[in-house]
Amino acid sequence: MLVAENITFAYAAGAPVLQGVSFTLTRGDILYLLGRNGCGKTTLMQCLSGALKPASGSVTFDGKDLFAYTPQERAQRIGLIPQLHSPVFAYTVHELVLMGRAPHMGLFGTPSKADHAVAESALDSVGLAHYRNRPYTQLSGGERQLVLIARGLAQQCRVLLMDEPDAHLDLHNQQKVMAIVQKLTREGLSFIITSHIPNNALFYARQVLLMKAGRVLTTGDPAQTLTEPLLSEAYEMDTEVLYDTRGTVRVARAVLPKRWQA
Amino acid sequence: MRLLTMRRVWAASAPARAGDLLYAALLLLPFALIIAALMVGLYTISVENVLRALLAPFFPDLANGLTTTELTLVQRIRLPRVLSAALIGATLASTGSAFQGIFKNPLVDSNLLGVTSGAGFGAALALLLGGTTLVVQGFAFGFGLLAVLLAYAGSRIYSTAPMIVLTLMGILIGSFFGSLTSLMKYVADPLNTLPAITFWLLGGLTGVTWQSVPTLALLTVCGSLFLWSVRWRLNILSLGDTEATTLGMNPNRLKLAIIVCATLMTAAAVAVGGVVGWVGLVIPHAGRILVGPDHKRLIPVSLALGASFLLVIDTLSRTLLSTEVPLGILTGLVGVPLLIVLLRRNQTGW
Amino acid sequence: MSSFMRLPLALLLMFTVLLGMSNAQAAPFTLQADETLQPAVAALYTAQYGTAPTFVTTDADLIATTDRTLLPEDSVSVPPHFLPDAFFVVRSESASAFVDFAISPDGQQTLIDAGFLPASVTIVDQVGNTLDIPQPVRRAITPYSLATYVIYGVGAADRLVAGGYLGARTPEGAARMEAIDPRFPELSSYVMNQREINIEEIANLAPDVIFASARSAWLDTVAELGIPTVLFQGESPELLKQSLTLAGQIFGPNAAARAAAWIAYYDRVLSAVVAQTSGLSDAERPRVLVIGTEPLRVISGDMYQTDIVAAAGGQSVSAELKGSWNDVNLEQVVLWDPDVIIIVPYGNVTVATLTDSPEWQVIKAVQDGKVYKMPSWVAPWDTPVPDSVLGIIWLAQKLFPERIALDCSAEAVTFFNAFYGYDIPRDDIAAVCAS
Repeated sequence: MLVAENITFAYAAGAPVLQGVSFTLTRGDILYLLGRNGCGKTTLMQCLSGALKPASGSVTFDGKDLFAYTPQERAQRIGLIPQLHSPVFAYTVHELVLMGRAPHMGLFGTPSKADHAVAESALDSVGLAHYRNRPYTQLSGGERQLVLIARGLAQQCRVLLMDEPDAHLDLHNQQKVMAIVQKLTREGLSFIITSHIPNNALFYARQVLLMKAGRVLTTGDPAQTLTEPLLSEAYEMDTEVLYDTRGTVRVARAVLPKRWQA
Repeated sequence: MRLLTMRRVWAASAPARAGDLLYAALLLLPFALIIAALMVGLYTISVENVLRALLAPFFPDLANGLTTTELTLVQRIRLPRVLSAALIGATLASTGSAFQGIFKNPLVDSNLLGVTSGAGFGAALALLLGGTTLVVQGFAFGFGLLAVLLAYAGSRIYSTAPMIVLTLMGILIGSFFGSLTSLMKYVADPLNTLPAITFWLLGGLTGVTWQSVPTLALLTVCGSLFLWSVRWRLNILSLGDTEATTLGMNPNRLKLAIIVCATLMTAAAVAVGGVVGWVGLVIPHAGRILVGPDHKRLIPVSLALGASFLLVIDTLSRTLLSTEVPLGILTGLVGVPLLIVLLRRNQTGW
Repeated sequence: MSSFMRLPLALLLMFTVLLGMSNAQAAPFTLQADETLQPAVAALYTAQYGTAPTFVTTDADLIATTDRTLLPEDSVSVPPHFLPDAFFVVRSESASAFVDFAISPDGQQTLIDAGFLPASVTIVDQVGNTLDIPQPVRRAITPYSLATYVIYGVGAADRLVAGGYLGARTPEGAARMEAIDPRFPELSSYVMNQREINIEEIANLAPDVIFASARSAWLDTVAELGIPTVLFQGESPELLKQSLTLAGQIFGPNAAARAAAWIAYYDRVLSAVVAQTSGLSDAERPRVLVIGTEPLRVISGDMYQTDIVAAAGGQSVSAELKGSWNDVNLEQVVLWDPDVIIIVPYGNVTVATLTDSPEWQVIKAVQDGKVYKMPSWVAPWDTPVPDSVLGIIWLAQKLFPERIALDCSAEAVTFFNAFYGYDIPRDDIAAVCAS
């Protein structure tokens, strides 16, 4: 569906930030982007949302180059859920979700009854219909994430890019958000998620893209990619992966910094 | 799930209906106030006579029984002034709302990029050169646009963070023109030109005649229509460029269009009414408290509320004392305390 | 030519006399004086010519006297006064240099030294400040441009070293003022007005007296210089007269006589005009609106213009307003519905400004074609300056064309001769009065 092939990107007169990045996102996929600060995660997200155009390589959506779509068409396909933010104005939850309908109407248009219905059901999907008239600015961090996901749903796009959805959220809220994400993948939505918590990738990812200094270190399912040698190289430190061996299959449960052996 | 949604909508419909009523009432308010303002003055005219005088041009029979003074006051003197007050108030408030939206800052108005300062200088210069009312208005309009153009040109020097640089440039250009205006005041004849400049800078509709109304009306109506038509998009612009882009918009192009439109409107308003402060700052806040931050309603309400506010202020200005009280003084005296109260009330955000 | 116009020449001559002549030179004229005046005249004569004078008893070229019967009847012009009430009757041009010396600051100094004049005068200005002013005053500045014309009125313009000139900012006004006083460009080159003044420039000019408006913004700064500052606020006929009297006291006997003469002339004109209209009821008095530099900027009841309107037999519709200029709205004007509108001479408002405006068509004065711009020669005739006497005559003529016997241009000729020492071009002033 969304295919990146050999993307290279450099800001004007600078060293390349992305070099030869390739991956394929399928329907219902959850792709985690992991790597150190400055490894190129954010730039990659911007290339995927259409905000930045790669210098070479291609991003295609359903076989068509991403930049051959109009911005509006692109927004009907790929949505971005920004990091936790505080808008200046206290829009209600419903108003904010409704903004997801923007790619589906003209410049001078205002939301129709149908748009309102889409927004309502999107809000229902994340379980926050009862918050529709609450000011968005009064919600907790987890609730805000869910509202932004609902906005992505209202956008009716097929891929949602989430920028560090686990930042600023407590364990409970992280779980709440990710449960919704997993539910939505069953309905056919795909997610690309950046995170600084490899454990979350361990839990929720179907695919992991481990990056280092603008290159893809490895890609594949979590079991293949989240291994001690690869993580140690990606984060440039000794890491340790703890496995649960109680069942029939050995399951990785946690990624931790390697404890010093006294 | 569908059923659930439906029930929610039903539950929400009672307060929504009250909100709709309030919204409709706000939109009708300026029309009622126009009639009221036409009645009030040094000489009070009854509602009936005001309406008859208004309709007399179309139905000459209605003029029977009206004194010449009443006809003159309503048709020739009060009406152009009252309309100008409404148009200027609507312009300042709606452009204020639009600027607050696109600059994501609830404490700015359409003077952010220096249009009023430029217009003030233009008017002072024209007054110094002994221009007629039309020349003064032309200069004010021209220099208002020039100031914003300079700010915009200045901001193009830097490619990064264009909005922040634009704001900075606007403040710089505004201060620059402010200094030029002070210079004009300094060299002005204290007996002749200086009082005219000072009075102009304080704002006032004393000299407004039918002559000034057509241009003002044209720009206000066209500009308001544009702002009205993009009112919902302002919501998205107010989230910031990144989100607007991912929602399929070209934020910079639309912002530029809004800035051009708001600047034209403001320049026309300032050219006719002089420097009238606070309307563009206070009214959007009042509007948000009444109908919320959604620009879909905020823009129409700003237009209506701004028109109403300035109608009331201008009526006070011409009836409070036997001489004219400058508008800018009254908008400040009424607007600042009002803003403080509104800021206190509005603790949930903007 | 009046004494005033000859002054620069006379001073030059005197300078030559003092510097170049070591030997005393006999006067080229014969001199007669009242017995009581002979010591003072002798002091002047000795100072000028180095010898005591010989007084003749008849047919003298120059007579020093207190006898007013020697003057032509009902002349407005004032003979040169060297002591209070004592003046010269000049019968030959040959005596004029001596007369000029006698009324000059040097002549005043001579009479002070000889004990005939006080070495300083004490005056109370128009805000009630008591000032001691050493005599003679040789250098005066008038940052208050209306005071400038008061100084001209009392014939002391030769002692001005800098001043503001209201009405002389236009090329026409400047040309006229320069014709009246060739020193005008030099005197008016300093930037000074009610609002601003350059303190260092003032210090450098070293004036003996400053004439200022009581409303000047810089009074505290100038007070630091310790120069006597006379404050004027002449917004009524009485205050205007008082300001001339004060200037007369400050500049010595000749100026005092000129001030008295102007007051007499002003009172005479005023009573002549008032006599013509005194029988009128309020209903018969035209209702006049005086507007300023903007069509909707009108006079208040506190302003001198209200008195001019009243003196001319009208009534100001805006008399209830207070303070200085008031900004009103058109609605107010419609309700006043004045019979006559007078536009002040300064500013950009013209008769056409009003008559071309559709909004003003409803006003009676506009309908009747009774909108007039008040004329002026240099100083605006509506302001508290000596020239305002002409404004009263002009306005009375406009309001009551059949009743008023006085003629504006004839009176202007008399006035300018007597108080500016200037022979005003007849055709030009006639055109101005007729405008």
